[in-house]
Amino acid sequence: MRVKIVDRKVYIPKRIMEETRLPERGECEILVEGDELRIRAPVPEDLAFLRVLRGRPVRRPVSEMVKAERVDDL
Amino acid sequence: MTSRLVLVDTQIWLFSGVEPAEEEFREIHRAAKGFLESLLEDGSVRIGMSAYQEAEVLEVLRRSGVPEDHREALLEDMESPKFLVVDLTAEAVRRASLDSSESGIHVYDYLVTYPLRGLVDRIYSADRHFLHRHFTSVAPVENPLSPWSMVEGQRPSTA
Repeated sequence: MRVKIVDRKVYIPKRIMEETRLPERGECEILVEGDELRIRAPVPEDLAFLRVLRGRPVRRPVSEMVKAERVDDL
Repeated sequence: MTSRLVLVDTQIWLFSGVEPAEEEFREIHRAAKGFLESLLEDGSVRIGMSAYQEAEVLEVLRRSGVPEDHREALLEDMESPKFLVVDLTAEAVRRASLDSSESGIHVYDYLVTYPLRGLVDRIYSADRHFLHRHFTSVAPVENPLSPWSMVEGQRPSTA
């Protein structure tokens, strides 16, 4: 795929923006590998599962946890 | 800033979200929860996961009685840039099947790991299966729950 660069601004097709979940504006993470450039969406600071972990956990006997993890009945 | 991509094995997800009823095993929950919290809070770390493992983690949490809204919270996070979910390819399944036959380790550990070959910097697992060269050749393996270790289907131990 080819994209245009005008005055150091890279114009990325909308479809690619959606697929990669890059924001329309703001900060991104850039990785330079040789003569290649990789752009990633920023990692979110507030994650829903963090709130779950900070709450009261489910409690189960270890035997049930081990059984839940067994894959022989999949 | 560049980010690291790490694989977190399913048992760590399970023990972070579920606390053993027996006091002797609660230390594993505390270690898994603390470890996972630190990873999720660390903006320089992203979590890599095969599509197979995504389903496995959610299913194991469901079977352990983790409420639906908690599992949906995790699913929501898995769709965020904090996670890289990699599709399971026919080639990864083929290699997993062949290597599973050779080692005698069930294929599911391979389906967790092989799609992330060449992508992850480190594997975090307490599963003794992951000490096999098939897994250490993908990335260095570290047990954040040490001295506890596990094998699928057996109670955790410090042996």
